[in-house]
Amino acid sequence: MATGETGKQRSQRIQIDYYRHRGRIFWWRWACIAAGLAGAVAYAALVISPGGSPHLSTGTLSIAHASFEKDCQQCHQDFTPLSADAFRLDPSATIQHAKQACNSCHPVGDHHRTTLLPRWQSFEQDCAQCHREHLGRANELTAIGNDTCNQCHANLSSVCSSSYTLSVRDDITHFDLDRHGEFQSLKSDRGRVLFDHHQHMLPGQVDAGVKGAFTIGMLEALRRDSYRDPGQGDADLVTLNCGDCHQPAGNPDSQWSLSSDAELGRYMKPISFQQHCSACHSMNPPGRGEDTLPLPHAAPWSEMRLLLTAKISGGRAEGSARTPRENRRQTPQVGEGFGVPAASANVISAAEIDAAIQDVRVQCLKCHDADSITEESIAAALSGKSAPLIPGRWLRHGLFDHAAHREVDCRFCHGAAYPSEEVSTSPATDHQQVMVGGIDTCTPCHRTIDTQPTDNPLFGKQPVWASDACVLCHRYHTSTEAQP
Amino acid sequence: MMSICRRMSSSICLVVISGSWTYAQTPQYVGRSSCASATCHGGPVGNGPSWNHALTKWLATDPHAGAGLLLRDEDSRVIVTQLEPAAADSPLVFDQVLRSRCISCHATATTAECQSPQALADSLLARGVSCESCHGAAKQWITAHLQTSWSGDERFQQQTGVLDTESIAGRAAVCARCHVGSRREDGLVRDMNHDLIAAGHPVLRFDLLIYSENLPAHWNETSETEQTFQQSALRVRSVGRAACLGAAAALSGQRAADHQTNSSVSWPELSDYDCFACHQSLSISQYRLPANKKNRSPLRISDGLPIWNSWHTIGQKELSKKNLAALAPNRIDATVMSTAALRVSQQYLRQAMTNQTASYDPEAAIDQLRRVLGAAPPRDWHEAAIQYLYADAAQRDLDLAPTKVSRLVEPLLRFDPNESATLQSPARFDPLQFQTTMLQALQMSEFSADVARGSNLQSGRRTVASGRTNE
Repeated sequence: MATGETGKQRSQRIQIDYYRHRGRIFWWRWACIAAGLAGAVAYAALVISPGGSPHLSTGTLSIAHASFEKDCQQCHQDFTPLSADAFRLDPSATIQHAKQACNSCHPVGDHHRTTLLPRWQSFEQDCAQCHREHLGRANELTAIGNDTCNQCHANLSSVCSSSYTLSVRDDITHFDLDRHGEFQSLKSDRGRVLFDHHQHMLPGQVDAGVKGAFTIGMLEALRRDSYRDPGQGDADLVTLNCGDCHQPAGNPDSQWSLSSDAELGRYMKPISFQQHCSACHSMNPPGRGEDTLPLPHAAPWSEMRLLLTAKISGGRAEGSARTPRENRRQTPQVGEGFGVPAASANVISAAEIDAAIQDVRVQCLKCHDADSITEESIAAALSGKSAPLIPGRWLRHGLFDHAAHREVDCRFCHGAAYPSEEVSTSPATDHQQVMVGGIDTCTPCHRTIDTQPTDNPLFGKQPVWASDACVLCHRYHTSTEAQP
Repeated sequence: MMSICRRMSSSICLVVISGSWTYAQTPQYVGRSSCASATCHGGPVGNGPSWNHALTKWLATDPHAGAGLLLRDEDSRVIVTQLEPAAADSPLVFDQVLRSRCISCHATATTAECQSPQALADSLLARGVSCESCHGAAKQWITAHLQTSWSGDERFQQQTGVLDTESIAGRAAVCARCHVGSRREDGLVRDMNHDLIAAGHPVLRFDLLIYSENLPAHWNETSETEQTFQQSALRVRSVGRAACLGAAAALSGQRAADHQTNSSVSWPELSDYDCFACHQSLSISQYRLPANKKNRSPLRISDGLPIWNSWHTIGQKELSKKNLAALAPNRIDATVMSTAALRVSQQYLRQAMTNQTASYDPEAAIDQLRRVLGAAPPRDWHEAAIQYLYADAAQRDLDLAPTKVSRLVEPLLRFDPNESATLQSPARFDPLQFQTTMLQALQMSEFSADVARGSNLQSGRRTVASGRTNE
């Protein structure tokens, strides 16, 4: 390619021994090298001098890891090249070392790793992508900003393999109905226990104009004080409030979550027949009085037969129940007199027990479906292997903390459980709906700081702003153990 | 008329209204288990009001609860095989007999269950004579009965299906459905006839007062309605006997009417008549009527012409000779009998209502009995038994419990000194001893002394005021 400059012209312009001359560039370069070396020596001196260690780190460790402050190798490792003859760092080895270090104390499972594209899989394994250390003692490692989550969740399909079908929406960026969507768990009730909150919240558990209101005196004597409001006598109506059945507990699934999620008050204790139902709904064998026990709840049918036999037989033996063919009379029948005692004192036929079992079964079916009271279902329930019929958590994907919301009236989120004139008491349909408020009950408080608060008398003294961070409700990590 | 119907069970009411043997509708049961919730009628005995543990108590103490399973015991086997010899070798035939003849009273059964050709499940028998047998099939009223507006006589309208167990006449009519018999109630045939008695079933001699007292109460015995039962034994007995006569007449008439359309319905039905008129011991040498007393047997039993329903008719002064004659066994015209029985039934269902609001004077009743007995001993066991019942009731109203007649006279009426129900013959009965003892028990001097000793005698109770306290 012609440049327009001849060889002669070039030889005249560049001296033939040009490489022997030390020009300004040469001296400038050496000056820089010298300055650099001097600076390095000075910095090295500063670093190794007392008080110079901060220069080796971006900051102190958070308070959770403060004990490792002087023990860098807990997390960091010596330089590990990509290969023996290379000088590049092997990022995967570094990440793996750090992850092992983290996991030695925080064993956590993957976050949908197998669904991610390969390059996002390494991201998913890198703890430091979300939990940044050396930002000072006050640094909250678990305070993950929404932007961190949004790296993937703003366009989730772009980080997932094409073969994966999303189970959540593709573009969650904010916590509101439009950009987050309604809670998935609330779309159907998994409950299998028929119950009517409306009826139970009414005084005496009956509607206006209905007879049979339950009074304190109708409860078993030992249970009356538990349901007696101040000043109530035995003739007063049983009046239930939420706390009679819903008592604070920790997260029933906390083994797959943060340990703090197990704190008392976050969730409610599972409903227990013995604790919450039996005072009014005891299952009574024939002739049961105050001095005898009711039938146990969820006893296997084979055991129930034996118990009923014992109850009936016992009643007859002690004279509180009539024996078959008993013919003694209090008032004589004309011609026959007072009659004679039964010849066979205490014979109980299988049919008699069958009928008693049928009475019990019908009582079971008042609340349970037929599948729940089979011998197999009862055995599974007693062994603890089956899921509870009333879930301990209704929001399966997000967490909730009842204690944190203690100032809010229950009705704000659970309004459907309260009596209202529009709600019929029969038949009970509570098992067909989830009586937990949707996202609209959260967003009045859990919102971006620049939005206007909503006023509602049911909030009580609860502050009307709260974080809308994803991690307030969602936990990134899964368990290393298989979940049921 | 409607006020009468409100206090009567369904088809008896139909009899009164329509003047014919109308069938009541088939019941729609919900089953006793529907009542058994601890918050309804299955609560622990002793807690809360009586209604809350009515079923719990009934199951343990009430003979009706075990009435169905009696059909599986030895006595039942004997009766059924006597009735149908083929049942001895065929469980299916046995069950068919139970279905067609027994379970309408011994269980809470539907028409279909009584007519089914299938084997009879023990579970059906184990239901017993449960809630709906006496209170009415609840399908129609189970929801309504929860309302506070569910009170008063309006509940007992025929169309509601609920039976009146609160008034004396109503309760008597309910009991009479089985304890006297019926062929229309609930669309069921509850007919314990001569065939069954011959096979070994005990004779039905229902008395509302005796049966009520022997029934363990699963209701509130201090309630206002129960007070009407406790105010006057004479009233309960008079109302009960009139209602049962009305039911017995209805049963006789229905038997006659059914025989005309179905020849398999036996008629004349011998159980309509005094058993002892025919069942006399031929081995007794005294069984020769005195020449001058053709109508009197030394055995003190009605003889010659059996009296129609003597247990119910003796002492019923309002029963006209015309009607009684029409019901006599020598008039074997089913149509005539059906018509006469209808008239008697209507008359005594009304009489039961009248008796319910009548005044009763126990001392006057005792005076009258003394006069009758002073004139002559009772003609037979039945007459003596009814005299005893009224004397006992009068003395109860004078606060003598157990009454003197109950202690002294009742044993004289027993068929068997061992009090078994198997021997059903009044052969031992001595009218003269009865007369003497009864008059002794009714002596006013002793009577007054007993009254004076009784600290709980209430002066106002000697003459029981008419009408119910809540009316």
